[in-house]
Amino acid sequence: MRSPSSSPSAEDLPLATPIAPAALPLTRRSRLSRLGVGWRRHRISYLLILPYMIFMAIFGIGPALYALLMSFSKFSMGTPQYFAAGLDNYKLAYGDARFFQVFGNLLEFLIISVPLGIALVVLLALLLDMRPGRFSSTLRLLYFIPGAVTGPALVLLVICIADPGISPFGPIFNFLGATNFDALVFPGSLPFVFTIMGFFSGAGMWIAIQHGGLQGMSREVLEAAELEGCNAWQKALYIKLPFMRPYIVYQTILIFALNVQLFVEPQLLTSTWVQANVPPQWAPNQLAYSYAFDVGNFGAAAALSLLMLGIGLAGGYVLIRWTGFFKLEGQS
Amino acid sequence: MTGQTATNEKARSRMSLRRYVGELGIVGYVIRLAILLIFAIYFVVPLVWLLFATTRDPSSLYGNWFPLTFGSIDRLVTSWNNIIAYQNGEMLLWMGNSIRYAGLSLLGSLAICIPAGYILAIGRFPGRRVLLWLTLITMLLPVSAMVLPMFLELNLAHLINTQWAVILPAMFFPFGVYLSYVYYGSSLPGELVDAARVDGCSELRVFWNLALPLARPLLGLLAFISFNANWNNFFGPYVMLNDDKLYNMPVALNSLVAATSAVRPGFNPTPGATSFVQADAAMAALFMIVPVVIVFIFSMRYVTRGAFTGGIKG
Amino acid sequence: MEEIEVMKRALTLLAAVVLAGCSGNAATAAPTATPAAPAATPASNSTSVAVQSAAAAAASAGIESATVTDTTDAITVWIDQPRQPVVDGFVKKYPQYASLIKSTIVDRETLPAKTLLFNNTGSGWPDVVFAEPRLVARVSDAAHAFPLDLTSLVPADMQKQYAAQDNCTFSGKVYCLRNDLAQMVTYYNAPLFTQFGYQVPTTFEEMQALSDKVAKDHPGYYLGTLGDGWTWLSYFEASGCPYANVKDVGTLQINVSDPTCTRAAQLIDHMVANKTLWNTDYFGASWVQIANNNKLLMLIAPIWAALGTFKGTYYCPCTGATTKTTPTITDKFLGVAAPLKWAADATAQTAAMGGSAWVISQHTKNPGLSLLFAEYATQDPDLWKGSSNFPAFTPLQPLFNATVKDDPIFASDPTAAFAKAATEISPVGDNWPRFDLIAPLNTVVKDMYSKKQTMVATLPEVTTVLKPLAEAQGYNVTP
Repeated sequence: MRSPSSSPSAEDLPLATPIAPAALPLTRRSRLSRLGVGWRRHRISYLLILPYMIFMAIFGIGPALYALLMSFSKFSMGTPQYFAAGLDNYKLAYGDARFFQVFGNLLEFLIISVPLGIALVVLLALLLDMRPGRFSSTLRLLYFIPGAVTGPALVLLVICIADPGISPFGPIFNFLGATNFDALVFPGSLPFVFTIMGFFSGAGMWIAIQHGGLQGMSREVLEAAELEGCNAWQKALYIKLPFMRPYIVYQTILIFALNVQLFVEPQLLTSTWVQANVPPQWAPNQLAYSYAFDVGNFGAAAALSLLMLGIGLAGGYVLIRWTGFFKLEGQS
Repeated sequence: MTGQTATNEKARSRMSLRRYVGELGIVGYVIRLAILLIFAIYFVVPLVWLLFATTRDPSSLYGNWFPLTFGSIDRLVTSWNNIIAYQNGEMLLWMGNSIRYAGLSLLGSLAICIPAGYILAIGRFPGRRVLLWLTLITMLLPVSAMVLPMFLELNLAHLINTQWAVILPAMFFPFGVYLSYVYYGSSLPGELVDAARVDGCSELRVFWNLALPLARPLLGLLAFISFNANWNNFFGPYVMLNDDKLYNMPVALNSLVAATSAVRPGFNPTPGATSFVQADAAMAALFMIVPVVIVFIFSMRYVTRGAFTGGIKG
Repeated sequence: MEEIEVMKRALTLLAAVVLAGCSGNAATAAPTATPAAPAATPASNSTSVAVQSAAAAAASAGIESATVTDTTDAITVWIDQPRQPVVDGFVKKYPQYASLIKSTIVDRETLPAKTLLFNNTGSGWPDVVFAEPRLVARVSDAAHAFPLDLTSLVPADMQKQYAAQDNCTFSGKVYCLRNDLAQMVTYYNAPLFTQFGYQVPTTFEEMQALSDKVAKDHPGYYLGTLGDGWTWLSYFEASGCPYANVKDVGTLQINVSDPTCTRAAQLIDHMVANKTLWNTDYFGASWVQIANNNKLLMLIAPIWAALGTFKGTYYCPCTGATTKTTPTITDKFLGVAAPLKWAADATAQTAAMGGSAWVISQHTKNPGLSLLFAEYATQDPDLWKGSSNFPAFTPLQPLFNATVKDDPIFASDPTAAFAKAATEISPVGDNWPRFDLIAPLNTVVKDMYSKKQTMVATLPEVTTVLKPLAEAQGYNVTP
């Protein structure tokens, strides 16, 4: 991702400076202490970050710590008896017949949605970029607009689009032998259904990003390739694609993290007004919600959520190590 | 290196069609076009269908072989009136609520995320990395675990069933902080900041005079993503609000569809009540989608222009 | 290069943010909302005789007899939109309490979730809620502990006047007052039956025999549909199948190998095989089309379907898909018969789809006023005059009969069948367990079709899907 001309930055320096470190006459720190502003600087820093820290404490870390406490608490009376449950909540979640089902469903969903999503986004971004111009920009905007459709509106759209009787794709479905909604939306097809829904809503954004990334490619490299006789396909495959690698990696990690938390779509598909052939708890997040609000066992919900957090972090960590992602984020 | 993007864009833009086709080969050209158009159909047709569906009676929806026919203006007007009049005209109230919640959260998010991201990017203070990791963790924690604690907190402040129970939590926007962090980390050259400091500017001055003016493209991006996320916020309002006068669009839409015959014509346990059909459900969905699309279209232009030309001159 | 870096990174995170906002943060409550047949929008087409007799009958039972001792504490009532006239009527009838009534329109599916949250904060509970017995079931466990026990607060003879109060009784405690009923009856197409020379069946065995005749002589006509949890209940509850039988607060019986279950399953398989049973729920477009084409011969459906679904969707003028429209809403097409029974059973049983109740919170500061409100809502003749919902309070049933019997959609007076069905609501499915049944049963029914297997073979799935839900709720599941 770093184009050849930008300089590496030392891990400690959060700024991306175009000047090689060696050229810097003084380190920032020594220069600053020479000005004698050390502690005062920190005070102002904390001031600028104070609002965020307050909100994080109230709406982020605070609840997270309380959730940790809840996971060891008993909720049989609806209100917490702290530390009374020991590991019972974790055992309850693990022992639930649905535990392996939901994580199996999630795994299937991730295996399908992440590679497919990345591949298609990259393909479309490259295809669009082959010939920049009004046609490409218009298409990019069109791909982008479904991003406005989420939650109930998306499910509403899906139950119409997936009903061969009224869907614009009805003739295709009928041709494939699917004559009603239940022939298209059933437990075995759900990973694909959610992938298609998610792609519809989210792909345009990612395509725009990859496009933005490609804008950073230097003209000289492309021209050099052309002089060597590369055609558009080869340019795409051998020059642009490697250039996009860091952003593909970034996209992979983010999509993975977000898809682990799949909740709205399966939840709404189970609700009354759809009555799809979808198990009441299909994704792990739904199972956690069910513990919290159907049973009143907030402790089990917290336990399962923490397990999910662990899995999300573990998966993220694996992806990051395997792709050397943090090495790129020199300043993280 | 500055202004590289603009140069690239211009330089790469207009290859002649002939040469382009020649480069791809006729087959290649056709394949590319086919793929792009197939996906265009995938993305566009459902929304076009939704627009048409507001004009079609159920008999037209099920009866016509061609799915994108236009029905009647009459049906469109009826659907519009049904939705506007639903529950004594509450749809406009809900739309207003959505705008208010998204707007206020947006202002709060901007005020919080921009300074936070800036100082995370350039500051050197103890706890900086910890904060970055904590940000990541709060993004990954499923919401089911956070509901009860947040409910308890907001209840202590007597904010349950008020609009602030929706607006305040939405101001905590870790992704926005990350965005701001990366933006400043990449766009603010170290020597500029140092130069300002050497000149005797206080840290706050640096922020005010240097970082803020640079924030225009970031503002556009942040505003746009914050608005979209908050407009579509379902869970917060669903849990924190009882009174349906306070609902925002997603919760209201869910409620409307669940309580009426909108997607189940014939489901009428209140014989005599207005019978809703698919056209009404489509209209309600459009009420939810169209404002965001409008914001999208404006933001895209602003974002693209701003981000591409950048804020760094010289 | 910087701004490119910025752009790239910015847009990357932009995407991340957008996607986060889209998928992670939204949620909804899972399970079903049943259609609650709501209270009246007053109309003036019932005879005054009926009103007077109803009022007299009610008066003799001492309606709305709750004593209000506390005149300072206000109460909060959670209603839905169609219940607004109830609040308005109460305020008009009892102006002295007008300032004490605060009503909010709420999506009542949130009641279980909100109750838990209120329990944790120690405040915020509504005093009176309009909710179905299945929702009351979900808030009556130890964790929710929402309802007030009305057993001693409502006089015994008044309680006896509510039909299907068993639905509101949990472990011997009365937790709600029934508002209306949605019992299922047997609808049939009267002109077609006459034309084909068929007798309306009174038992399921007769229906099976009829299905064979129909399959042979008039293929393409249907005697029912099975496509979701509710239509499943219309057959299995009518058979008394213990698919989720609440034995007591901690024990749930799930036994789908019971003969009462297999006989219903075999009937279904028989009718699927001879193509007299369709495969969607009551509102499926294909089923509506069958109805519009006058191929709907017979259907087990709730009482509100007569004026809510047959009128305007199945029969025409209609909103559904139409190719040929034949059954009309003014030409006396709709016959109503009492629920079918199995020959071996002593009496018939029938399911109910909806029908709501009023539940009072045990945290209410003004139980007298809350009770008075609930009694008013369920017992007041002026409120129920002209309503096309079947009142649970028996003295009001003449009002309903008066409203309904002259409607030109009916082939003959349906009120006897409706009344009989009200007494036959199944005791097995009577007490809803503390978890939602309909969503899991949906998946069982749809699996049967998608896997192309028989209902008999699919029955074990009922146990598989219901058992984890029951155990999560603390039930001990017994066969």
